[in-house]
Parts: sequence; structure tokens; C-alpha cells
Amino acid sequence: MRRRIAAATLAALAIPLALSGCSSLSAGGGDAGATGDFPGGEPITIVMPFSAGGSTDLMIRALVPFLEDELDTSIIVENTVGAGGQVALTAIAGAQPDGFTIGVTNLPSTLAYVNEERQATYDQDSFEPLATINRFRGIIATSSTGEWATLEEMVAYAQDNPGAVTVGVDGLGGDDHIFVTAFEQAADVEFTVVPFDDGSEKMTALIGNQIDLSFGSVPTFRPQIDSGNVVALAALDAETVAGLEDVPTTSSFGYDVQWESYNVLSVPAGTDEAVRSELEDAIGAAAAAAEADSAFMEQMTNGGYEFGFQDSEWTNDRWTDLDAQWRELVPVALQGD
Amino acid sequence: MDIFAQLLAGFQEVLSPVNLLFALAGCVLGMVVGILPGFGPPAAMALLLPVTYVVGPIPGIIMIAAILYGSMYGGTITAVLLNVPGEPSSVATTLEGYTLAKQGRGGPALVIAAAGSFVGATVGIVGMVLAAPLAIAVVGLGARDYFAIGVLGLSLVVGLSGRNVVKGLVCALIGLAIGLVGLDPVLGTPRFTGGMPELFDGIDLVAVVMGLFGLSEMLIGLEHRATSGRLTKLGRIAPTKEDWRRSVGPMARGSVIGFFTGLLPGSPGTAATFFSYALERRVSKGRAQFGRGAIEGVAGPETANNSLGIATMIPMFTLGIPSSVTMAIMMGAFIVHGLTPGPLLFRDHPDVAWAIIASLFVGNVILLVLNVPLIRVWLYILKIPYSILFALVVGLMILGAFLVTGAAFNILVLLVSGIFGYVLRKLDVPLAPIALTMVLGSILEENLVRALLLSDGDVGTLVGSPFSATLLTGAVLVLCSAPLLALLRTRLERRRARLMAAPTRAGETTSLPTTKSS
Repeated sequence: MRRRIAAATLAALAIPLALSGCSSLSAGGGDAGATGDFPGGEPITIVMPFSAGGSTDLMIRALVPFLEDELDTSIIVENTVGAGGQVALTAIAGAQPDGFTIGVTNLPSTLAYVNEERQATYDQDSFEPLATINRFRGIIATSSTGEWATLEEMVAYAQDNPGAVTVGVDGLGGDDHIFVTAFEQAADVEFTVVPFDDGSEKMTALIGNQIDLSFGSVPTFRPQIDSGNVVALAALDAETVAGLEDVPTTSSFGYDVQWESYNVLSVPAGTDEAVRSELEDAIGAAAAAAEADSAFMEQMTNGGYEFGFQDSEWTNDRWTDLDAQWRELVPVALQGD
Repeated sequence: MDIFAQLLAGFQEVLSPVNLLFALAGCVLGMVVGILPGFGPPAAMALLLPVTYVVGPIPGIIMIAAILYGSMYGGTITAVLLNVPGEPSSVATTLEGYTLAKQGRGGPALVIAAAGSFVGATVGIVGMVLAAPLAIAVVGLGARDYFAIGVLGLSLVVGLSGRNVVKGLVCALIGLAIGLVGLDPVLGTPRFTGGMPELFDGIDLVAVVMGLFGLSEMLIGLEHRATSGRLTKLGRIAPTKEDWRRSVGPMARGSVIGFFTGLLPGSPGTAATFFSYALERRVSKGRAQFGRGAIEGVAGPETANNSLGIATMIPMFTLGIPSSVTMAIMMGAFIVHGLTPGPLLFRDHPDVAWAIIASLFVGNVILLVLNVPLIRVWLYILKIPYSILFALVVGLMILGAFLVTGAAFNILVLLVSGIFGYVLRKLDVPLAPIALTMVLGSILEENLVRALLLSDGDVGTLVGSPFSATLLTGAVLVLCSAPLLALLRTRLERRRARLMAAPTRAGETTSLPTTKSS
């Protein structure tokens, strides 16, 4: 009987091992990296800190076939979800810097490392950005049955009644909370910040007038704006946002607050420069090929993406700027209320 | 245009061969995903999203939706036959379903479950067609109302505890404690995480449920079944007239519970099955049989689960709000085709909207037709030698735990909770309250905090809306009802010392009535 149990246990362990073997092998890569023939047909893994079917996942998966053509190898997208991306980012930062592991290091969500409470084991220096491939623009939204029709009315009310205006955020210290804090500073107002666990609860609360405001990217609000449940008080931007041309920008009111949200691809720090430039060029070429593909671009437009390639240098600069901005705002946001 | 004319047009569209084929494919895939423990519909739905680019929105979304409700039929099978729930919503079904299976009544339990699933889904669809205004009304519910739902749910713990209420309450606390692990919902501070980012999102519910209920059951089985090799006798498949008669009430109540739980975008969805179970345990005609194999305990939760599954689509269809992970994926499927879920969908693309709603009904008919004859096949699971069955089921659970987040950490969670569950089973502790309070814990905490933030710290806000006041009163009534109090009192006398912390000792002393479970 013992032996039977032992055999059964062994077999139980063997099934998942055998099945997951394929994906873990791909991370190994081999030693083709250092030479000119990278990737030499070896498969590349893209580690995705977000769940399958999300906005970043859909975009990357749509781009992957173009990138596979450029690099002449197969690419596996691995969704590793957890701790707002921290589990995946820890894995990316600690991966073999051979170019066979590429990470999705979106800005500003990756910057959660600035918050010491998160006990992140990585920071900007742990990654070498390759490229930015997409930007999301953001707005300040309120319910269409809410109290204010314009940003000025809202700001005037908030200035007269500190703490009376409530704004829902995706967890304290999250992306939108930081932009809220930046706006509070710029407009000299004080909101009551109410954290939500997921975006749909926040949206329900906004439509149901449980909260007054929500800051977020345009695609999140698009269906609600189209159906008239939600109105945009302002675009968090210097220039007007495509599709919302009649919504005034925060800059036009003199508030220098911009919603910046990018899909970024990076490799672990220490990756050979030749390999990096190989990958960067391939991403650039893949993005160009994708832009020429009408089906791909239609999908991007429908999803509210602002698809476009920016190189590693540009990405690095944005990262450095945002990092500095975050280090200033995160402590304020977490202590503020 | 008239709703029914549009719905008819929708049926016409769905009954085209291509759409039927995709509905069938989705149903079969969903059932497979449902049967495999730990394999949730989200992964399957997300992986098939690209298919919708190729085949177009109607067949694509029909298939993706079919995976979702198909998995709900499949989830019952391992729950009833093996006592292995693949997801939290199947836990309630195991309680009576497995007892029935052990008595050789697994066949009737599965037939009733399939019928209940069909009834629940049908009620959900009818509700969806008629309930658009309702969905808009419930948007007005706020944090305090969801808090009240959570409290009402918590009051049901006693009903899930079986013979031993004290142990049940201890388990409820264990469940709440497990729910505390992770980032504080207000401050974002890590709690009980030991610095491991894997624990920031909390302990994964699917992995815990599989371990606590499924793995522990398989381990218990190792003790005596590894050599005998057979689980139980198969018995007859068709339910008796008596079974059908007794299932009518639970199905009716279950479909209502599931529908309303699903309709509320912020409600604890999986808790609907527990609500139904606890309700049947108290009100159904067969309540005396609970714990010894009551068909009502299968009919109610299964119906609630499927009614819930359809009703969760309502906020997405009518408001464009995805209230769960699976709904977010479905919404993605609409958006990549330039369709906006919400009122605009019905105005601009009524053909798509109504075709998909009609497909829900057609898909459920397909599932019913597929499922009933297949039950004979499923029952043969019981004939697999246990050594092989153990390897298969445990292997699939490990794989499933890994797939939940793509991190090996959950395998550890599965194994640890399996051993924990094994110990609890040995101590004859009821496990269901753990699953219930794990589901409810975060909802209670978040909504309490949110309600207080919104009211600037005024506790009075919690009873400030008619909805929350009614539910909280209901919770108090449930807790104070006489038989339960009497039961508590007998326990109190025996173990007074241990019971200082028991939450309900209010008023009322009745003479000991004969209760169903003592």
C-alpha cells in the first residue's frame, strides 16, 4: 500500500511538471546572446505583470506576431499576476540578463517601488528600458448627474469646502492617487480620497454619485462617456485628447498636471548592449510593420490606445522624470488625508 | 422596436449553423474547464479572445460567454462525486452532494444539479431581458449597503456549521483571519505578508478552497481507499418523483438569490451559493435531512450559481460595468470590435446585443442536452482505481493552482491548506464557514472603511439607508432566532470557559425546541 501511495504522489507531481516544463525552459535561453546572432532562433519570454485579457495584455499580444517576424523566433507571453505587478517585476529584475527575458514595465505603475511600504527589491536601476510602445491619456471624470458641469465650479466648491469633494482611487498610493495628489497641489484644493479595490466598483460608485470624482485613462471611461453616464471635466493634459476635443485641458486652467501612462518594454539591468540594441531595433521595426497593418491599427483605435514607438533613450528620460516626480508625491499622497 | 421582436431576431441569428457551432464549442470547452479543478473560465476566455478577431463579434462573444456558463455545469461534477470543489462557488454543493454520492445517489444529484443550473440560467436570462431599469436602480447602492450584505452573509455562518456551532464559529474566524493577509485596503500597508510580495494580494481563494476541501478529501481517501480501489456504488441515475418535488422550492428560491446577488456590481458573488444553502437548511421541507444527504442542498446552490452567472452579465450589458474578472474579459471582446457595452449597444447594435442574449438561452439548452446523458459517463469516475484517481486529481489541482496567477507560490498555498484541511477534517470541524468568511471578509472590511470615509467617520451612516437598515435587521433576526440560540445555550453550558468570545448571547431564553441538527 505504501508503494502505491508513493507512486500515486509521484505521478501527481509529474503531470504539472511535465506540462509546465515547456514554459520554464524558455526562460533559460542558452548562450547565443553575447554574439551577433541573437536570438538565434531561441524562444524569448515576455513577462507580463497583468492578467490575460487586460488592456496591456491585449496590446502586447497583438504586437507579438510582428515582433516574432523581426526576431525570427517564437515569443511566449507569460502572465504573472500579483501584488499589482510586483511579483512579475521582481522576477524580471532577477532574470538572467541575456535578452531572452523581456519584461513589461509600464510607467508609472512600475514606480510603486518608490513606496517603501511595498518592500520592493528593485528600482529604476534594475531595468534597462528598450522602448515605449503606447501611451494612455487621462481625464478627470464626474457623474453626469453630479453637481458640477465644469472644472472651475468643482475647484471653487472644493476650495470653499476642504475635504467635501470625494475622489475614488484604485488603492492608496496607486497611479491615479498620485495624479490626484498632483492636482490637489496644483489647484490648491483638498479632496477626501476613498480607496477602491477594483476599477468597476469605483465606476459604479461614480455613476451612482457615491463619490464625486475619478481620475483615470480615457479608455476606462470611454463606454461611460459615450453612453452619457459620465462627463469629463478636464483632460489631464497639455493638449486636447483625440475623441474628446471639446473637453478643456488642465493646462488651459493653468494647472500643470499631466496624466502620463505608458506601455514600456525592458530587459534586466546588465544585459549586453549589442543584445539590447538588437531588441530595440526589432521592436521599432515591428511597431512600424504593425502601424502599416490596418487590422492592427483598427484594434488599437477601438481600444483607445495611442500606439507609437519611442526609443530607449526617450523612455529612460521619461522614467527618470517620473521617478523624481513620484518620490516627491508618494509621501504626500500617503500622509495627506 | 418591441423587445420581443428583437429577441426573436436574436434567436434567428443564433440558430445559424456558424453561431450554433461556436456556442457548442464554448459550452464543451466551458464544461471541460469547469470539471478540471482550479481551471477557471478566465484563462480559457482570455486565451480565446484572439479567435474573436477572426470570426467576428457575434460568434466570438457567443463562444466566450458559453465558456463562462458552461464551466458552471462542469464544476458540479467533481464537487458531487469526489467532494473536490474546483472553485469557491462549488463548496456549498459538496456539503449535501457528496453525501448523496456516497449513498449511491450521485446520479440523481447530478441530474437535479443540471436541471437546477438550467432553471437558474433561464431565470437569469428572463431577468436580463426585463431588468435593465433594475440594474440602473442598484447603482445607487453604496458602501454601507454592501457592508450590510456582508453582515447578513456572516450571520449565515451558523447555518453552515452543521452539528457543531462552536467549531463553526472558530472556523469563521479562521476564514476572516486568512482574509486579513495582504495589503491593507485603506493604507496599502502589507499585513501578515512576511515581506513576500506574493502575499500582497492576499491568499488566493481558489488555491485555498482546492486545498482545504479537495486535497484534504483526497488525503483522507488515501487512508482507506488506496487498496480497495473503489469509491462507491453507482446506483440509479434518474431522480425519483420525490426528488423533483422537493427540488422545486429550492430552485425557485435559489434563482432569486442568485439573480439579485449577481445584479449588484459590488456584491460577494460566490457567496450566493452559501446564502441559498443556508436558507434551504432552515426553510425547506427536507431540512431535517440536511447533513445526511438532502437533495435540496444541491438544487438550491446549483440554481443560485447559474442564475448568478447570468445576472453578473447584466451590469455589463446595461451599464458597461464589468463586475468580475470574467466580465472584464467579455467586455474586452466587445471593445476590440468597436462595440461599447452599455445602453449604446442596444441602440447602435441591437442585432449583436440580442443575438448574444438569445445565445445564452440556446447555450443553456445545449448544456442541458449534453449534460444529462453524460452523467452516466461521469459516474464512471467512481470506478477509476483510487491510486490513479488520486494522481490525476491532485496533479490537476497542482497545475490549476499554478495557472491561477502563473506563480508557483500558489502550489505551496494549495499544499499547506490541504494539510490544514486534513487536520480540521480529523477534528470533525465544519470547513464551509472558512470559505464563506474568506469571501466576505474583504468585502466587509473595504465597505466598512469606505462608508466611514464617505460619512467622515459617522457610524450612524451604516443604518442610514433603508436597504442597509433592512439587511442589518435581517442579520440580527437570523442570529437571534430561537432554535439557534437554544443550540448555542446547550453548548455554552458544556464549554462555558471556551465560549467567552461567542458573539451572540442576546436576550431571549426559550425552552429547548427540537432542532434539526442537535
